[in-house]
Amino acid sequence: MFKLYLFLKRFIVTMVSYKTALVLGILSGFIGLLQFSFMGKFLTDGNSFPALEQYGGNLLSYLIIGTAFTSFLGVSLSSFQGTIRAEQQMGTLEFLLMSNTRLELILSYSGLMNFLQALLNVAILLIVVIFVFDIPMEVNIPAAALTMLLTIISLSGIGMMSAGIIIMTKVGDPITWIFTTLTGLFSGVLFPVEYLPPQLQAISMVLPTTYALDALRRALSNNASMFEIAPQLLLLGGIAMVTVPLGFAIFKMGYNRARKVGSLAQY
Amino acid sequence: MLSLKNIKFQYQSKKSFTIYSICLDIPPGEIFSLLGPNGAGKTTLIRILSGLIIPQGGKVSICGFDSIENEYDARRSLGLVLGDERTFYFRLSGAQNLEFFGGLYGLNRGFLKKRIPELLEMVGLRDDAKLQYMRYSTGMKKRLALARALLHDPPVFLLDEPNSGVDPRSARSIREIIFDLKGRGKTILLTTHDMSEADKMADRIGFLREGRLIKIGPVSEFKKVIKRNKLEVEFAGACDVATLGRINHLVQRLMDFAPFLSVAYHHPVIEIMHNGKFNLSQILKVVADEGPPIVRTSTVEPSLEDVFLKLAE
Repeated sequence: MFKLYLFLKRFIVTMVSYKTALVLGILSGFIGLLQFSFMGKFLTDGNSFPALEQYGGNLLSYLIIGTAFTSFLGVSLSSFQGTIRAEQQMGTLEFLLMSNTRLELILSYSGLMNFLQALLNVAILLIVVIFVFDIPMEVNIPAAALTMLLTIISLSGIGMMSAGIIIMTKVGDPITWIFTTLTGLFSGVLFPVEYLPPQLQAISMVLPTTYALDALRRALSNNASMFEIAPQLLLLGGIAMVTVPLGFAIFKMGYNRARKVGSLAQY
Repeated sequence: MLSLKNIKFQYQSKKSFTIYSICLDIPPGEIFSLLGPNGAGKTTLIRILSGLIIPQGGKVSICGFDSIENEYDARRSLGLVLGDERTFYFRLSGAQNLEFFGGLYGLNRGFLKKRIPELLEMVGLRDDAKLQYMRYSTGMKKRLALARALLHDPPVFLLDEPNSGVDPRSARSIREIIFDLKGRGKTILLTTHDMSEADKMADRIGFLREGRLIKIGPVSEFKKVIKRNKLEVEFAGACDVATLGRINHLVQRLMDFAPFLSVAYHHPVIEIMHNGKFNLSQILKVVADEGPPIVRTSTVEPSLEDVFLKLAE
């Protein structure tokens, strides 16, 4: 736990020292929120959205959750490679790896800090949505939290694979790009997947993010219990059991390969 | 304590080995200095010893632990200082950086609370403990790097140019700490470009050229590489370039081999490498006739820098 505390302390001290960036980051979230709220009110006035009934029927909450999910997706996929790249640029990577803390722990704790930042942003966003803009949300907290946790874990495995490729090849990896783009288009971030042509709906069905987003919306907007979203949760758990060990294995392979060719600190 | 057997390593981008078949044993309480020109492979060797690079052949053993098979035990036995300044978190203070890395070494909070002020005091950074790392001078950064290597009190230290770019005061302070470590029986491998530093500190020296350890021995043995003595002639004033050229030409004509005449312009001293088989008064007459008045002559033994230049050829 002391090691986790040290990673947390390093993260907070660094974040607070960039005061302008911190304020601008929060401000950007609010500006994005304003855009959505005005757009949502404009579209909602005098309209109903039958396709959104399963998620409470409110367009704005639908869009907000989609956006928050996308930001978490980005963090899950890019957190590890971003951490590795940042440590390489600061020249600290070799000293992290030289310590006798296990590689898996260093990677997990570093990634966790980025999740905490994303969680903070999303929490602020949701509080503002519920209390300032008075958007109806019926939240089942345990179900939403478990969905988020399983989503983060299963996608982190893919993020670790991506970091393993980065540490080995030193160039941008295609995994993050493909996954983010496919999710944005086919997982129902800004519109329900039923609006896609049937052939493209097949892509939605194989993306874990489709199930994660569906479960999250039900838990956040429609008070769905864990029992009601159990199929999605089981599926996400199953994906996590495959992606996390595979992610660690690919990362370790990349790490050892970089040590063999002497390119660990290069970026 | 630190043992290397037939270490080989080749970067993918290079056609030849960067490190070629190196064997070396460094016992406890010894300061071993690794010398060599840029690109000789010194930093690569340090990275291999610290487990950051896996060699393509051979074995590294640290306190009996194989650096690959028992990598966590081997790492626990090592204190590392790399030449690069960018090895800390810039936004964290010196003390916060030490706490972070100490925690990763498995040191607990209570121990670190005592150990960090001790180390900061030892490296002369007690008053700057709360200063952000990015505000540290080069000398302070080097001293903090040494403090980090000392955190877990390992038996072996790998110090890659610990004194490069620091002022004489910081250099002396770092040197004293290294001597103290030696006194406590620690094994120390250091690389340096500063010949006087190696001369003052090392028990043994290894000279690395193009990845091969071409010579190992005590400093005195190294100086025997140059079989000539050095005649120093000091003038009352600086020589101009034309005068120096004439002196060089005439001295060469008087000797049965080409002398190594080194000179610092605007500095009233010339150095003539010689083998002792020549008429000194004849040489001095030529120098006196051509140059400014002579105030001092002396014969000195070659410095480690002369040896370095000779071996690097």
